[in-house]
Amino acid sequence: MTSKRACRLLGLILTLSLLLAGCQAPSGAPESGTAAPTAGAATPEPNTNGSEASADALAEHLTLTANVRNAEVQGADALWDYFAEKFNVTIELIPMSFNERHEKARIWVSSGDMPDLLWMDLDEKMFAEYANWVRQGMFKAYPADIAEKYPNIGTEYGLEVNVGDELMTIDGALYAHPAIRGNPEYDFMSGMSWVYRRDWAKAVGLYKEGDLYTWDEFVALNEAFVKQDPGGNGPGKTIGMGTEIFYFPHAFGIYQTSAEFGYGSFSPKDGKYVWTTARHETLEGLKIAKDLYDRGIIWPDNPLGQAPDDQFKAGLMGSDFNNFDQGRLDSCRKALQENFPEIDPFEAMDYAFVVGPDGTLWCKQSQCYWGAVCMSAKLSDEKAARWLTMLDWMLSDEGKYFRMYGIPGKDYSIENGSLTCLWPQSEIYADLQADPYPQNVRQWYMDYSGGVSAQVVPNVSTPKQTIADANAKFQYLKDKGFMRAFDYASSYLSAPSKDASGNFTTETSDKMIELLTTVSADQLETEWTNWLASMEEKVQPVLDELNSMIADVPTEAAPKVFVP
Amino acid sequence: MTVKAQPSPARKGVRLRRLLREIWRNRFMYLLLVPGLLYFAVFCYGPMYGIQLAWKEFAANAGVVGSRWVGWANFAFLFKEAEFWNAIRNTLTIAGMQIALAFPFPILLAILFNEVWQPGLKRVMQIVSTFPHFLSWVILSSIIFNLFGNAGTVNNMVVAFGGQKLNFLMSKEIFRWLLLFSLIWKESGWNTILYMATISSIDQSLYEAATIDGANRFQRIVHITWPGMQSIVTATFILRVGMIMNAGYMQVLTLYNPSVYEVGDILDTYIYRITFQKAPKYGISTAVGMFKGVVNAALMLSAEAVSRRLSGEGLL
Repeated sequence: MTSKRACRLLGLILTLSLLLAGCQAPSGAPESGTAAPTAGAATPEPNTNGSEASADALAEHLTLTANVRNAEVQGADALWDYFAEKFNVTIELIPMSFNERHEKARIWVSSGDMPDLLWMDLDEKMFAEYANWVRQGMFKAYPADIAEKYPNIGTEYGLEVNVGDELMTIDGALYAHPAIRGNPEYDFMSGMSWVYRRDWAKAVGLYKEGDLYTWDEFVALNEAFVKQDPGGNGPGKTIGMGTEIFYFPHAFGIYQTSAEFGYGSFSPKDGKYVWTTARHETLEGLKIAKDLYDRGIIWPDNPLGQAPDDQFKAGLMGSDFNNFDQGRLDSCRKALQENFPEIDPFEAMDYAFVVGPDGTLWCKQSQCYWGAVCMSAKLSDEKAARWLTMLDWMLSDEGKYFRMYGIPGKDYSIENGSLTCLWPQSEIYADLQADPYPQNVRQWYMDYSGGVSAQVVPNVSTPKQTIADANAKFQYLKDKGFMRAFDYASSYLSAPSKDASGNFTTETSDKMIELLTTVSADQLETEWTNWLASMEEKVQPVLDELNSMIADVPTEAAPKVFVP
Repeated sequence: MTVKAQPSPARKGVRLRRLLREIWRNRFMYLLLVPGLLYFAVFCYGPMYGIQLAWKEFAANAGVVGSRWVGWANFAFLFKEAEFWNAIRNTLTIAGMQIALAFPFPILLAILFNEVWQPGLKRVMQIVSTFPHFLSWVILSSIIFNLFGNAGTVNNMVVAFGGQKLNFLMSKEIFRWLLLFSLIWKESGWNTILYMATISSIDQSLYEAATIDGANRFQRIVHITWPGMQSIVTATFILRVGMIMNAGYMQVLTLYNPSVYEVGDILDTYIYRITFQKAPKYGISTAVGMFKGVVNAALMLSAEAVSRRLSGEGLL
């Protein structure tokens, strides 16, 4: 090789490296200027009539890529084999952790590396980005006649309480399948609620019959937990109240004065939208939280983002405010039973109903869906049709049994219209059956198709008392409490200023944490007011936009005072 | 007036051929350069084409090249943002603290290690001080949380001695010092390797001669060790100043929280938050990166010039 050739070779290597490094257009992105698919333009032919796919339609083996949480336990069990075989499909799972779900979606879509099926936590905070991506042609439209051709999907979208498909419709076409939540019977009431150590309450002599407390009583109770240490953890080690970081510090005063998420969203007042963060209820709630934090009743390390459930399960925390559906309640009770065999977890911990300082027993509504699935614009019609076939089946009765119990004939049977779960007997509870599949193994099915109401498919592995307690809580709050309805109109409006600014949730939350932990109680109001003034320049254009674009601003319902 | 003779094209050709012949003769040595060159080409120069995003509004369907030009709009937006200026202030303050206090620490440590007579003890001390470098900031941040959290070891000791708990991780007064000391703990041992290697290359006969002449330990350090290290210290100092806008992205990201954003949010974490934690503004985050790069380059050249003027030594 001559020196000239060596030089050329080196140059070629460098040039190729540069090219490989990224001088290429995103592979998944349509060409610049390519119009977004129009509604129903590429309607894939359905492969199934209802939940039964024809053999011909499934003859070709297809491979789909899809992102999922807890990927490490997905796709390696008999359920997955059954599902893959049934639909003659291989689903390559792309892992994604819960904490990076937004970040990953943004990177995948922007870089053109989007999986065939993209699951997103497509709530109101991500909606503007979703709308933007739709208009840039990054997603394939779901067929316009989806409800007719896929009857189970149609039934789901036809539910009166489900507005998810309407929300996901942009410029007349649906680009995301919203996975409906599993509690329509309670009007999608949020599970956010207190659980507490009832045994500790009795130990400090402040227990109230029926677990019903006024706000002052509940604060006094938690203060007693901290000071009297009924769990015997040692001086300074028992925590009063804690919550998930995404709800800090709203759980400790703001919720109890407004039941607003308070993440900087907008709320109607006197016929127009105002910034919820700037309402006096928010400041009042913040003052309450500040007082609790300064008195050491709130978990001091809570702002650092660690999980409150771990502290509760370890017997270090008295009251935990979290999304306590029956699954989380069961998980906490099981952990307590394991960690403290001497106590009865059903007696020792339960929901606490806490009436706010204004005399209202607050609860709030969630969106009707949790997460949504978008199809890549690159997805072929055949693959799209296969996905819709799978989805339609998952939403059928058979699909729901499959998602909750497992394989027909092996995990459940139906005789004379009566369903029997064939799971083995639980080793812990005499009257229960044990789920033979690993925990979280159903994540993909649930994320991609939606929740299953316990009223449709009964839960046979959770203790009956826990199910009863969870249902009783929802029912009690539905009967006695006041639920702040979710405002879809302002939350899902896509408009220039709002899309550019977001809804100021992160800024609000960060500022609250900063003030709570670093300024004195005397300075709180001044600092808060100054910050609100500094934000006005950014917030006002969004408010103006909302008030000009939403013709019928909803009337704000007056809170219902709790009557025992 | 003197006129410099320009080499003729023929002479240029001869020099080039000679150079290429030299490269070919030592081709296997030059081959060792390839991975390094590839690294810089792929990870440093290749992505530079994305810098154009600083003047564009990114659209996913158009990609980097096809996105719409917006002139200086991203910079104009950025310069109006109070958070951006706060991030710059924090970056410079934290990096300044690192240069003033963390930079000299490994130099001092290397000199002290060099003075340890027992080789076994010296090796143990080097291993112990170097080990934290191999732990990632994610692991170290967990250790720091467990040490300095409300229920952490340090606070428990404070309470055991009758004191009041301190909110180390959420205190604006303490946070930057926590960053500094954790950096010194993690990296000082590792950074001594370069200085130890430099010290070991100093001619031992100089020490022997100085000892015969009656120089004590301190005098030997001042008159032999330090001058022997000076050029490498100068080079590392210039490089560190050239990275003044890099104040420790992973360290801050894993340790900070909203309570201390005001004193801890640096440019890199600011870029991360505006890129991934809100609706992404790729154009603006690229503009921040561009700004950072330009300032770093300017400061490195300035440090080089100052160093040449003061000590006659430089890097370039």
